[in-house]
Amino acid sequence: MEEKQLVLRQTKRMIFMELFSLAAFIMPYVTTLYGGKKGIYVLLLGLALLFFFGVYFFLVSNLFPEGYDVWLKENRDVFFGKVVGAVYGVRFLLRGIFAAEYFAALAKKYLLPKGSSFLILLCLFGVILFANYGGWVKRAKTLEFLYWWMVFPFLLVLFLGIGQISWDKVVPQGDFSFLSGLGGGWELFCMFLPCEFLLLSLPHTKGKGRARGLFGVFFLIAVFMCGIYLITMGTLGENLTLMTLWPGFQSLSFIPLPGGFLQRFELFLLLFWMLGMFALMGAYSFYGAKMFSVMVPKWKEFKIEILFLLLVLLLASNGSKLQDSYEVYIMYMKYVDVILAIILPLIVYTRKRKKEGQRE
Amino acid sequence: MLEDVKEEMEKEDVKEDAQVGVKIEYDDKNQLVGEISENLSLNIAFIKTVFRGDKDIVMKELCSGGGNSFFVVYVDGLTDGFMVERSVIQPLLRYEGEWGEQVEKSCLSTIDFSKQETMQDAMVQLTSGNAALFLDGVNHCVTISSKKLPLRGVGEVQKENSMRGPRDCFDEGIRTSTALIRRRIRDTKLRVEQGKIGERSYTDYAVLYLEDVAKDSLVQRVKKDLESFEIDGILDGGMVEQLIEKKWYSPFPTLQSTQRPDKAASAIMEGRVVILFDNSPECLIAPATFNTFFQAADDYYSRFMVAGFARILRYIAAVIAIGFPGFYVAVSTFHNQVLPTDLVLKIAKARETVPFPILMEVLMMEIAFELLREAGIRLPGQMGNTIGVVGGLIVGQAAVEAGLVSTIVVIVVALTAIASFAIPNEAFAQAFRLLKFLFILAAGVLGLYGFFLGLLVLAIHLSGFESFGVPYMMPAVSGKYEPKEDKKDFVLKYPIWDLRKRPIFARPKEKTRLKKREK
Repeated sequence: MEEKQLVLRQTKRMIFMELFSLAAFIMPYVTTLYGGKKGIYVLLLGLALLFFFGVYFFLVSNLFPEGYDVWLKENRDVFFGKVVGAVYGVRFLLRGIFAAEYFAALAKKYLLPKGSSFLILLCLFGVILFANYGGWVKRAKTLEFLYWWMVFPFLLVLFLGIGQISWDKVVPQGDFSFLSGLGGGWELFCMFLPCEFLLLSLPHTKGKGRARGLFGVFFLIAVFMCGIYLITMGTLGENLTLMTLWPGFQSLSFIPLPGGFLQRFELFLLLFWMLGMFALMGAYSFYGAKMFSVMVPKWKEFKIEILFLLLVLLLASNGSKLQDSYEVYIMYMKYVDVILAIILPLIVYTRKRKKEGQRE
Repeated sequence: MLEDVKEEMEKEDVKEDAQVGVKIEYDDKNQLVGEISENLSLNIAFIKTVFRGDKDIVMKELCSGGGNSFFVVYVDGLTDGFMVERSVIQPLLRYEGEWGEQVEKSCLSTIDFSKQETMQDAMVQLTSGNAALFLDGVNHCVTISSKKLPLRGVGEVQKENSMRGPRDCFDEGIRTSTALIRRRIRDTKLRVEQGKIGERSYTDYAVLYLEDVAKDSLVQRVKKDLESFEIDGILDGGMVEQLIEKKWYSPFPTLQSTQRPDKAASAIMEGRVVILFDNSPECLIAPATFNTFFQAADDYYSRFMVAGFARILRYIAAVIAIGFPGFYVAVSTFHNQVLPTDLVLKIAKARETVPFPILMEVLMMEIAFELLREAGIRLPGQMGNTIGVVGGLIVGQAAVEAGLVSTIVVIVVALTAIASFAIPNEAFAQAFRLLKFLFILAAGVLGLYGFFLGLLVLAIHLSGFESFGVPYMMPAVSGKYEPKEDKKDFVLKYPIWDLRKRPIFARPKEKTRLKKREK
């Protein structure tokens, strides 16, 4: 029997790392794309959506005290459970592919220019499998440990970066179209969608003060995102921010490390950011395998996870341009994935109520 | 052919047994089968058969003052013959009173004796250094505690030196070791439970803990683990350590070993369990966490700022010991843009004449250093030092001058070596020295990416690791525990007046270890 009991501290750290990773580097691109110099409003809208839907997922997770995945597994029938499991599995697979592609592109450009995406991802996925092999608790303990290794360098950068900001590039100017901003906020929320994992992890979490704890996580995310936004816009400006899909990372190269013993400090930050991507891709494969196992309950979850990652590896290292992949990905996210993420729990809960009614 | 020899040997055994008239049998656990008889002649014959041909066994049948026969046997060299003579033989020779069990109460001039019902128990006591006394007409024997084992005596600590604090250390005798701890903890709740381990060695072990502080579950688990295997012999606690560890593949020890009685006593007072073995000059402490291996004894005897600084240095040393060569390989091979230009130029200049790639160069030097270390350990004291000088200075200098290695690599390897010696626990430091090679290889193949993945694998391994149910990375990974107090004695060490609670190892109700006395 797999041990599943997590503590609140672990869940909070897990969700922070999963939320922070992809969003941190893409966010300035999205905010600037939709808001230009007024991108801060887009960011605030995106964060508002994160808070709103964070609360939504928190409330829904409370309706499944036995665990969302557990209920689905125990109550699967010919059609319903298997379809829901498969939909979740495929969603996580698609999102995992983009996350992997994004990670590989960055790692290839800055860390291993002569290496291949395949090799980069193969190594990372091996490590992910090693971490996820021990199930919920081992994964939670790993992320509990890695949390400060990721957070501290970024805190340091935010601190050091404040002095590099050109405030004239950051101050919002001109009119702001709320509708366009909301579109940007919605797109930004797509990056924050890992908050959906609360559905899966919260029911297995013990400890009081869960609502307050999660509010703290979202607040910290908001602080970090605002900090990264200010540093990116304040150092790169509007045009340079739109040049790549990782302006959040590019801006870091403008922050010098005191003492001058390291010229390219941002390379190390990329490595610490890697911890977040490790958490995110680990989450996709871990939860994806759980959801696929609803469909094929006789298969061991770890075996499914290996297949999941193999599939991600093959599809993410196909050599397509990241910008093109992003266009497709964001269209899919905006119009399909986020909608499914919101609706599916309601459908499952309705089914649960119906089943409970039948039993009574 | 082999069968013939075996048969012949068996015949020989039977012949010898027949000479004394007793057939000796052993059960499948190598235990002697046989009760002690009321007939003294039978007991003597039995013992003579068991120890046939052994010249270190001293045995004699004598007559008491009242004319009753008794038989004394002990192992020469392990037993205090003079004490046996004075406390057992002389009183018995003069004794004219009632014979039988009464002899034990009114004749022997010692209080440290025990009754043995079986030959197996009697022989184990005998070979442990106690004298055995058999009385005619009595169906048990008395073993008198008269050990006089060949021991070094309490020496000065060799491996875990400290600037301040006691310098005595355990020796190979279990009784000396328990005494050294008892001397430090005079609480009557200190339990010293003893047992034997090893089907042939019958090595004594002792489990020490504070009855009201150590968790029951921990004590039971340690005892269960110690009894969970059958082995020929235990010659050192290190063998048991490996046998009871759950994750055998990890290079990190899950039991802390120490030579220092003060460290062991401190662990007991924290609610941990100490295991001592006869013939082993080190004790094992369970559970152990990553942090406990960085704690040196004088951390608690020195001012907190000094101790805290030393603790931070040790953590930095651990990072250097495991990662510095790998980091150098990664940065100088793949990412020299992260370094200041002057430094890159210096590295390039130093490597001008070196014919090997950086990975090979670092690997060669690291292996050469490990060779020197190994040779230094195996050679006697003075020669060991000579090897260090010859290898480190002369050969190192020659290699640099010949252009085989660069000066930078010599610095990297030397710094790594110094750092690895700054880790207070040798077994723990070995894990760092070993893993260093994996990091060098990972960095050599994948640069900083490989180096970092290596760190990630290590982090995953350590965060999932446990020692007797306690997370190894406590308090950084605490799981279900609330390690508020443990954080005060982590990388930073708080002043001693603030370390009011015991660490997570102790029972929840027995957390307080320091408080202000009420007036």
